[in-house]
Order: sequence, then structure tokens, then C-alpha cells
Amino acid sequence: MDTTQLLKGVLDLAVLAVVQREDGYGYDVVRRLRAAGLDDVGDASVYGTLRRLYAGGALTSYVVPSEEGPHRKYYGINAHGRSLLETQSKTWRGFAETMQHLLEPTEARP
Amino acid sequence: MTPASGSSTYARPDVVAYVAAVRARLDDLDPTEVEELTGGLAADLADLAAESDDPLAQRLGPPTAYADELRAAAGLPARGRVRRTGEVELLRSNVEELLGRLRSDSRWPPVEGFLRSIRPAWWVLRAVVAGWLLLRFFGGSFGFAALLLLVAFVVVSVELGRGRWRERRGLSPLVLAGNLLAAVLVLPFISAATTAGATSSGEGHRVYEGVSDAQGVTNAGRAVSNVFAFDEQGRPLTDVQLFDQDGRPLEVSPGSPAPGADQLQDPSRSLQLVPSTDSYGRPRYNVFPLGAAEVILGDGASGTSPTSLPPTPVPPPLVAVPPLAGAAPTDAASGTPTQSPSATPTDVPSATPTDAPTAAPTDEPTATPTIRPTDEPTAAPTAPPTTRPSSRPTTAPTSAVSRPGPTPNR
Repeated sequence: MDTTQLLKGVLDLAVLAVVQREDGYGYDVVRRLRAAGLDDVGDASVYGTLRRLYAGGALTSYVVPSEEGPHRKYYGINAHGRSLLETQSKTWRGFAETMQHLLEPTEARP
Repeated sequence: MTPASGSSTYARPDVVAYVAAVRARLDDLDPTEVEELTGGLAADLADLAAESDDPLAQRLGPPTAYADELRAAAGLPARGRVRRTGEVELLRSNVEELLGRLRSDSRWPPVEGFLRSIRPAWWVLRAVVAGWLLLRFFGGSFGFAALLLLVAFVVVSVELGRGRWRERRGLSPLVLAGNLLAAVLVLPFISAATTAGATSSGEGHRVYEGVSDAQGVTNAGRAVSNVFAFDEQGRPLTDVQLFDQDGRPLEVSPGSPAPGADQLQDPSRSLQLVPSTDSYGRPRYNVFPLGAAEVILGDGASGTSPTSLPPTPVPPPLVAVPPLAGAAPTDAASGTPTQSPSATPTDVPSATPTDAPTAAPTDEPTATPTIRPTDEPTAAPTAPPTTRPSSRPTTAPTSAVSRPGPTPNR
């Protein structure tokens, strides 16, 4: 199974989790996701997700000027994002458990 | 692709080109949205590019695909372009192809960046040109209404430039035509604006000067307020009537300050040059030198009109001038109306008794003055010369002795 499909469903959650640990700009978040093991995540998808979460009010955004080049746009989590993260975490854990149970070797029928 | 060096990542051509292509793919979106999506993209891609030598397009995929994925992840609808007319589409694809080729050159991206930055200036300029064209066409004046119109044009142009009205069908070819028209008219507009500025500043200059080109006499660019004539002996003359080559009176502008006017402490008085009046009571501004009179300025509040004291003569700026070459120490005759080119030393002036300086003490107007060419200091018309007897030591017409031979008779 292609993890891309799976990832699409939980990318929001993954991004929220990363940003919650520490504010980051687009490429920084991508790197951290990849470092966590999500190699297949696409740059554009992460950028777009950040944008969508920001538009949805789950993230804050600020610009840090840089001397060498263009300014960097940092994203940070806010209260709404934190509650969203919590909700989605619970949903995910519940879902993962369900799948886990489903995938365990079937008990011998009595 | 050049490997990452210590130089600034800002101007990496491949990054700039990639970002530009991504933005281009998102051009059907609101520009603020595009900015939100791609604002930090350049910096991030620069970091990415610095990691490896592989081309960006290979690692990230083609920019169009990147843009589509970005858009989808951001929850925006897929690219749905407004169908444009065939010609505009063709032109657009040609331009894009040209841009693609330009972007492959490393020198182009900074230029493109600069041009994109000054794009808003173009929006304003084209609106101004359009407004100016409209005003010229309909002959309106550049008043307040024109200013409002100009502001409206600028707003329309800027909003078009920002892509606000992109959804309207049929607008695109109109905008393109408008852009071309404005681009063509920029140079005529600039030339018209600069000449208008010159004339208006010239008018201001004239107003400031008071004595304008249309009135008064100028000498070497400076206004002439008074003329002092001297005879061939170098003695000052008074009550000299002057006319130009067309027979027009050589009039100076009225109201010039007399010498010493600035020393008057009283602000209600001014010292002005005043003309003499002829027997009809008309002021004569071509009779020199003008006298000076103290004018008591009228009071607008109390309704008094200005009054002037009797004029006093203005002393000439030169006490005496050197006599002309060959002029006899004795007094010479006044203007000899006809002077032959081969004047002999014993020339008897053809001055008739009526031309004698025993003229009437007052000035007389001359209806049709005819100036005979002469190089005498007093250009006397056929009318009796108006030199006061007192200004000349002798009044008897005497021959001009020892006159040099070749006196040019113009």
C-alpha cells in the first residue's frame, strides 16, 4: 500500500504535531517530518497544509526577516490548533487501535 | 546547475525561475492568495537546492505539478482558467515561451525581479496616460474634475493589475489593447507634460518679471525701465522720443521703481518712474528719460486713490560719456535728417531753421513718425525736435566741422 494515501488523511495531524513542538517555516517542517520517518511526504503538500491550517485558524504565522535572502514565513500553533491536535490525536489513536484489533490474528473461534 | 556556494541564496536563478513558474501556474488565483502560498517558497527552495546538486525540477517535480499539489493541499480548487479568446491565448503562450527562454539565462532573473517590483508603477503610469489622452481628446481643462477622473483611472488600473477582475470574460483582450495603447502613448505624454511644465513655468517667470516679453523693452535679457541718451559730445539729452524700426514707440513698462525707491522707509509711498504727458494729456512711455515721482499709495480701506507728487528728473547713471570720434568740441547741430555718405568736412547741414533746436518747449505728438537713418544720438523725426533749449548750450545750427569722411549712412 502506498503510504501517500494514508498520509493524506493524517497530514494535518502530523504537521500540527511538528509545529506544536517548535515553530517552523515550510522547509523546516518538511525536514522534520522526513526525519521522523515520513519520507514520502511531498514539499508542496506540506506547504499547502500549513497554509490551510493557517487559514482555518489553527496556526499563527509571522515573518522573520533575513539578511541574506528573502524573509522566512514561520508558523506556530495557537490554542485552536492545540485543541484540534488533541481531538485529531484521539481520533487517530482510536482509529489505529481499531485497525490494530482488526489486523490481529483472528482468535480461534470457540 | 551550479553547486551551492557561499553567495546569497536570493538570486539563485534556478530557484527564482522555479518559483516564478509555480506562481504562473497559480495565476488564476487571487494575488494575495498566491503570495500566502508562495511567500516563503524562494527561501525554502534555496535551502533545498543548496543541499544537493540535482536540479530542482528533478527533485521536486515540474513546477506545474508542484503548484497543483500545493493548491490541492491548501484546499483550493484546481486550476480552472477563464477561457480567453484565441488571439490573446496565442500571444500569452508566445510570451510564456519567450520568458522560458529568457529565464534559462542566468542574467535574466534579477531583471525580471526588478520589473515585477516596478509593475505597480506601470499601473499608475498607464492610468495617467489614459486620463491625459481622454482630456486631450475632449478638450477638458485640468481642474478638479480631471483630478477625480485620474484617481478613478488609477484605481481601475491598479485593480486590474492586481487581478481583481480577472474573472470577467472578454476583459482580457481589452486590457491587453489598453496596455499596448498606453505603452505607445507614454513618450508623447511625457513630451507634452514637459512642454506644458515649461510654458507654465515660463508664464510664472513672466508674471514674476512683470515686464514680460510682450510688453516693455529688454536689453540683454533685462528689463529696461529708463533710457538715457547722450549727444555726440557726450552730453545728456532729455525729452528724447524713441521709436523702433517699425515706427512703433519704444515704450517701457509702466510702474518701474525709480532709483532710490528702496530707500523710502514709508510703506505708503513708493518712488516710481513716471512718463511725461503730451499735449493731449496722454502718458508717453517712449519719451526718455522718465522722471521719478513719489506716489502716495491709495488706501483701499478709506477709498483714497493714489496720488503722485510732481516728477523730478532722474539723474542719468553716467555723468558723461565720451564724445564720438571726430566730434568737434564746439556744439554740433541737431539731427541732420539727410546725411550724404560722402560727408565732407565742410558739410553744411541741410537743417532748416525749422529743424533748429529752438523748438517748442513742450513735446508734441507725432502722428506718423518717420525716422531718417542717421547716426546722430538724437533720432529726430520730421517734426521739430523736442530738445529743450536749456539742455543745449547753443542753439544755433552750426556746421558739423571736421566730420570724418566715411560716416556710414544706414
